[in-house]
Amino acid sequence: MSGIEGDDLDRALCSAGGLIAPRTPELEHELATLSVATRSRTRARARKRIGTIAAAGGLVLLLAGGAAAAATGVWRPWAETPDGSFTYVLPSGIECEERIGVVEADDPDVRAALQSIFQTVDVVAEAEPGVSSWERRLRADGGALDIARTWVETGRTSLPTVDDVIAQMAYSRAVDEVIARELRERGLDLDESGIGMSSRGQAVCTEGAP
Amino acid sequence: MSRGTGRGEASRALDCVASCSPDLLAYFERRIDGPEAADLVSETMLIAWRRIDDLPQDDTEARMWLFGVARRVLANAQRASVRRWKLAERLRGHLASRPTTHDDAQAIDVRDAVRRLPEDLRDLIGLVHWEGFTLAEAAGIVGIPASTARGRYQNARRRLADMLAPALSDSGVRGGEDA
Repeated sequence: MSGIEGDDLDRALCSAGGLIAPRTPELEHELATLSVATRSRTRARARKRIGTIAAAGGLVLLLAGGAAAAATGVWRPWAETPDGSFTYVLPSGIECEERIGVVEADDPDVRAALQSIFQTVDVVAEAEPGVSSWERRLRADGGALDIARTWVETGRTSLPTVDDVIAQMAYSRAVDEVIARELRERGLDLDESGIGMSSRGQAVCTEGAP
Repeated sequence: MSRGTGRGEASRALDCVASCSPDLLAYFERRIDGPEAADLVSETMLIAWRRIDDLPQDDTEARMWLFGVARRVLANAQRASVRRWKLAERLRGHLASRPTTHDDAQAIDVRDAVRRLPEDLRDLIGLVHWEGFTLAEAAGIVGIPASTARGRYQNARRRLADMLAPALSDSGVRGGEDA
């Protein structure tokens, strides 16, 4: 029979597991940077294998155009101080605001440039001509339609129709293209230079048609 | 199934990997010495990103999946020398320059005892007591039935109790039984 009680063993194990140095902001920053760097490296290698939707979008920003993020709820903490935002209206009349933040990039100029773009460019107006084209491309892509249907059917999005989901995806990708173009004009060509970056996006939409 | 194809999915994956990264670092730091933990975190992330389409939707299952990757990375590292990743250079430097934490004698004894357990027992103890998984979740990560895990876990506890009895008795870690 063992010489110590179970509670004593639990306490000892707990104590022995708590020796790791505390999480500091510096450590969290290094881990976030590593997370982006490893992802960028993997994506650079896998770029040719990326599916139709992703490849067509250029993957500049992780916009919320995954309607899974569309909700009528509250903003996530990071979205309270976003690097940029834009609004658009979906076919059913629902208005969505999309916010971009937590921009992590190998090149620190990228984040400043993104903030500048959102402050000085009406990205939605610039993107409008490309939205319908993106809607057609997404509808022609069986995978995108499947995703949209699944999200609506399973309630993973607050958007009521597949049309709305596709439209939101189209807005995200069209805005994405505008951002990429603006970055290129500022000498930051993500596709060509392989600058690694990542961001978060969240969309919050109105309850229904006004 | 539509895992890993939409941008919402990509964002979720990034959230998941980023939020688990401190725990992954702690996982490696508890099991190997020195800043090599940075390289293992880096390797785990690289493998996770390559297989990100397999990331489960459920948060708990996603965390289990990431620790499953980490466990295999650790096993490989213990069989061969740790590969040094340039990607991990900054984190490695950060860990190397970090002030060392106070490590008391009892904790050293406990960790040493855990390290002396056979691998199949050691994994369960660590995942449950240090990473905070339930025994059933730990069984899932290790890839054994929950019933098998229960037996091994009890076996591990008995062995640890025997190994640690002198050290814990000397340090007076007996709930209200200080002699």
